[in-house]
Amino acid sequence: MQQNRIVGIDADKDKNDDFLVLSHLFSLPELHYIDVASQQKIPDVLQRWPLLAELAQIHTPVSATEV
Amino acid sequence: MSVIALQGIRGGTGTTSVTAALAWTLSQLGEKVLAIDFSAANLLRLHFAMPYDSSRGWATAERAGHGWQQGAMRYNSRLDFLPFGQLPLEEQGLVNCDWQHNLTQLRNTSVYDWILLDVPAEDPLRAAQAISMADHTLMLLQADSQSHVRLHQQSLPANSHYLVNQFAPSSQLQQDILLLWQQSLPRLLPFILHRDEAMAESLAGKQPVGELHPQSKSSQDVTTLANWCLINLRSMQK
Repeated sequence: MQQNRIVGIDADKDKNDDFLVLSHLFSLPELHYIDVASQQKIPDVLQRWPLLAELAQIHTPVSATEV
Repeated sequence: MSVIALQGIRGGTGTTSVTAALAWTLSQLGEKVLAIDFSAANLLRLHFAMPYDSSRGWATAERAGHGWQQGAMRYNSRLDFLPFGQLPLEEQGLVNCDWQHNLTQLRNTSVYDWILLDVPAEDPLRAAQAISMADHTLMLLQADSQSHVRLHQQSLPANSHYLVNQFAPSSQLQQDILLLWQQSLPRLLPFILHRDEAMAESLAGKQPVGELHPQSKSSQDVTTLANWCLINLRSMQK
């Protein structure tokens, strides 16, 4: 029954969600849904607020790089 | 037992009100909860109806040589809290308490499902101690420019979850910052807590928001947060 076990390869706890369990159970590829509408709004946001644009250019947030 | 540290990215993000509200809501969902105040400001207790002039708390009990347990208070049958206690400024730095050991003791009693730590934003030593002991950290943000700058320049706890508090949907700037975070900030919770007078009133009313204003937006928001915690952060072992 080894092949039916969901092996804990995903150390990232954020991925331990129901969708991941389902995708393992039904052998679906992990789908990546991208919110295209929100992504397209980001340039407008950066244009509106110089500080946000400046920070976005300098580097990604510390939290995003996991320092 | 899950130990959750709640900390604001800076002072004034509403962390103490949210800690009290979350503790109460989890207890209403049948969980056994202990909320611990790690801040010498000693404000958490006021959300749980404690008289202002009572100096009782874990730090005062430790200083008096009685042991931290003597500071504990019971709010209802499923919710206990440990105030910090009222200590003069010069004594606050002298509190020496091995919380790692205390939490192991608490874990061994199997009484609690949740320990919530109200961690001060402006006391780096005590904050680091609390966060190192927690199983999970929830960092509270306000969707404003200052929080955004701090996310870039401040050292942040590893693997912290981020929760937007006091969100005002009518603000263009807040909407924009939230959008940016949704695209770039890992482990941002998929819901927000709205700015709501009910939450502000919870301290004035000396009750957690869910109890004081059960029909409020804040009460709904905190119920969402509590259920998210149950699904994602609950430990299988007592």
